[in-house]
Amino acid sequence: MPNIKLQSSDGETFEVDVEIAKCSVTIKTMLEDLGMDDEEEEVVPLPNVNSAILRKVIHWATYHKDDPPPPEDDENKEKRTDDISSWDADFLKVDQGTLFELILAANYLDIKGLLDVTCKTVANMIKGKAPEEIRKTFNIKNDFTASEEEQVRKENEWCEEK
Amino acid sequence: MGSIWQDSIPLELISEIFKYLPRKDLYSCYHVCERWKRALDNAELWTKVTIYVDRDFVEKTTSTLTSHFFRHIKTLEFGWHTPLVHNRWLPLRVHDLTKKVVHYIFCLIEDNVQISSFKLFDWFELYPFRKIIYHLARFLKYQTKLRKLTLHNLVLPKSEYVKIFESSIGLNNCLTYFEVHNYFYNFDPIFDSDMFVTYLSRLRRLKVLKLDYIILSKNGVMDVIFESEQQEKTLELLEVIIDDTDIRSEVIPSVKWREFKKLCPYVHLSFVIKNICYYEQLEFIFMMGEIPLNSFSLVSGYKHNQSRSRNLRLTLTKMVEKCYKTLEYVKLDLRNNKENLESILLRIIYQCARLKRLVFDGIIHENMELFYEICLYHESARGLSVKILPHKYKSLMNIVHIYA
Repeated sequence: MPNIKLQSSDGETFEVDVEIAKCSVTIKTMLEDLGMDDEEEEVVPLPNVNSAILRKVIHWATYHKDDPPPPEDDENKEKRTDDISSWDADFLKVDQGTLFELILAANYLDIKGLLDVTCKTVANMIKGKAPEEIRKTFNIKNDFTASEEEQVRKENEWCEEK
Repeated sequence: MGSIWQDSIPLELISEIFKYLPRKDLYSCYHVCERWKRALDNAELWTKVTIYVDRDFVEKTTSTLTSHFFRHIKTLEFGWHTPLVHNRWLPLRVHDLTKKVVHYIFCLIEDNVQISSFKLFDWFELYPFRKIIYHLARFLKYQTKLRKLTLHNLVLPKSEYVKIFESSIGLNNCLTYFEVHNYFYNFDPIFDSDMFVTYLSRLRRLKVLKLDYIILSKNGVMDVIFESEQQEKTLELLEVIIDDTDIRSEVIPSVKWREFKKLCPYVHLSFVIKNICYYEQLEFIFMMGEIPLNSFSLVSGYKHNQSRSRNLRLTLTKMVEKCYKTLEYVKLDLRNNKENLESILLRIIYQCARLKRLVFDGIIHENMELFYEICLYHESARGLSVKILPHKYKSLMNIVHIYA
């Protein structure tokens, strides 16, 4: 199997099997557009991903390299969040900062499987929580103005009595 | 120090996360912060809205939340989460529930929500809820762009059907897609009436028509299709749904199929066969004359035992035998089947000369190189596309051992 070199934003290079790298649609198209498959030792720069995250992404992609392609999105199915495999769940036991970076990287590299599973993980952190609890979980500031708050309160009242 | 989830995350990625949340949680997200509120205003999250009458009006979330995004709705589905059987427990008093739902529909009408697709599902008539149907029909009447109407699993009195039919024709009569499918039969007499035939004949721009076999076999239904096909020639697909409740269906006389072949040469005829293993269940098909069938799919959710699997093999063989001359598309969704069917797949590939696509979801041998080679050959020779879906039991080996 031919290898390919990926360079993270902080300059570290990783040597990866081409087939594994190609699970990223971004890298795949880059290789096809630039015709990089020939023998030359070329380095693909990934200025949006740092080495720590890139290492994790490669780890994930290596584990999932034999996975069947994700099923086409079925509109009619409700999206589930309880189908995260135990390996992925372990893999994603990371701090919020890393999880966030992984989402950005998966989006930038266009790796659908990784984006799905990271988004699901965040969704699970939101599920069943009240707004105040969500703010606490994600350290979010309540930036609604007093009048907006009032409006929300009214809206809720209106619904209660309905 | 702000939060990354508030300040630096791109809006579309917040929406991406929101895709996995039910409305109850989205409602909480709506009240978290300005940016999350903005991220919710994403058309993708609201193009399709499904309303469960018995579930979504207990709390305020659905009505308030969706009303903020009414303008994004393109597909509206209205039905029951647990279809209401006689005297079933309801979370609210019937009167209160009806009031809430009707109020919601009023809001839809007031905001002039224009949808392109409407589906009514799992609706067993109970008198007090007629009011809801009445107002839904009113809502439909205001639609100018309604293209799709789907009725799934309804048991309604004739008068309610009439309301829906009448209003679905609406101002512009631009329905291009009409589907009726019931899982059980409790056959609604409406489909055996002139009224239904007249309704069908008024749908002048229909491209896709999906019906239960039992409806197609009723008097006048096929004639209407012939008639409008001669005048308008818009119909592209006629999909006939056959499931295990259709066993006692009437046979459509051969002369009708001959007429179909002659009068509707451009209509793609497709059978969707659901949950049937035993060929006796399809006897009425095998008894009919030549059917100009372009495609069929066999879907089976049953747990298969040996007898079911053996019979399924026979059923499949008979189906292919019957229609091999015209088949262009075959889809077999047999995830629970425990027998290897590659011999039948090969038979389909070789026998159906006009076949363009074969999709198979079921267990396969680990060692299928020869099979794939044959598929590749046929792909290059006649453009046949064969798709074997990846399956969780990648190999048959375990099961073969048990049988041996």
